[in-house]
Amino acid sequence: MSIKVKFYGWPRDVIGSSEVEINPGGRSVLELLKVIDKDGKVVRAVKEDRLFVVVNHSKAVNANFKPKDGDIIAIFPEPSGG
Amino acid sequence: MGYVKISREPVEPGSVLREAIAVSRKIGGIVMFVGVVRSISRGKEVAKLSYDVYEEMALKVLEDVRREAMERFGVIDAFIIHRVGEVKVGEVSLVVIAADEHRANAFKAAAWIVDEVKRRVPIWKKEYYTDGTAKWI
Repeated sequence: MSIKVKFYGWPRDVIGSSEVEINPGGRSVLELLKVIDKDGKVVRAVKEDRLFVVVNHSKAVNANFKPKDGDIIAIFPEPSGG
Repeated sequence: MGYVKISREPVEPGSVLREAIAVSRKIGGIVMFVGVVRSISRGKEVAKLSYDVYEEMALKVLEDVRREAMERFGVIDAFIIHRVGEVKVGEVSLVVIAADEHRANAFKAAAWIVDEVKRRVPIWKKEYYTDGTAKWI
């Protein structure tokens, strides 16, 4: 049982990795981030709605979403391309 | 036919323009926006940019933006090419082309596409300065 949590933009630098594999264990995205994010900066930004949470490349969810086995969660800030 | 693309290689706007011209003999006006990495940003001298991309989602959103622009403005065709990875000062980061029978719609569609790409497509840039510092924008 595992999911992938992917980080883009500044959260990737904070976490120190672009992808983390973790057993969801019935926990919410926010609870999982508390395990992954030692610094707490990403957790804070998610709580303050400064980061997007997207499941399986398409669906935006809030941090209380509970991923299931095989899900891919992406965490990223507002786009700044162009 | 137009397309969207995420490119890790340098983008050559002239070749995209030639493709746009060849799409249809009905085209009478083509507007092309070319985004280029500039040397000064927020008062600091830029050495390079690094674009991060959530590719699976970015491609979908780029397709959405192109389709919506064609529906909204009724243009004949549209192209969107975004460079990612390391891009040096003076290199092209974004090419947007809108082609239509007349110029008015092409101008409107191109401007709208650029705004939507910047607002919606999951791509992020990090500026690296000549003083050795860097910042996510």
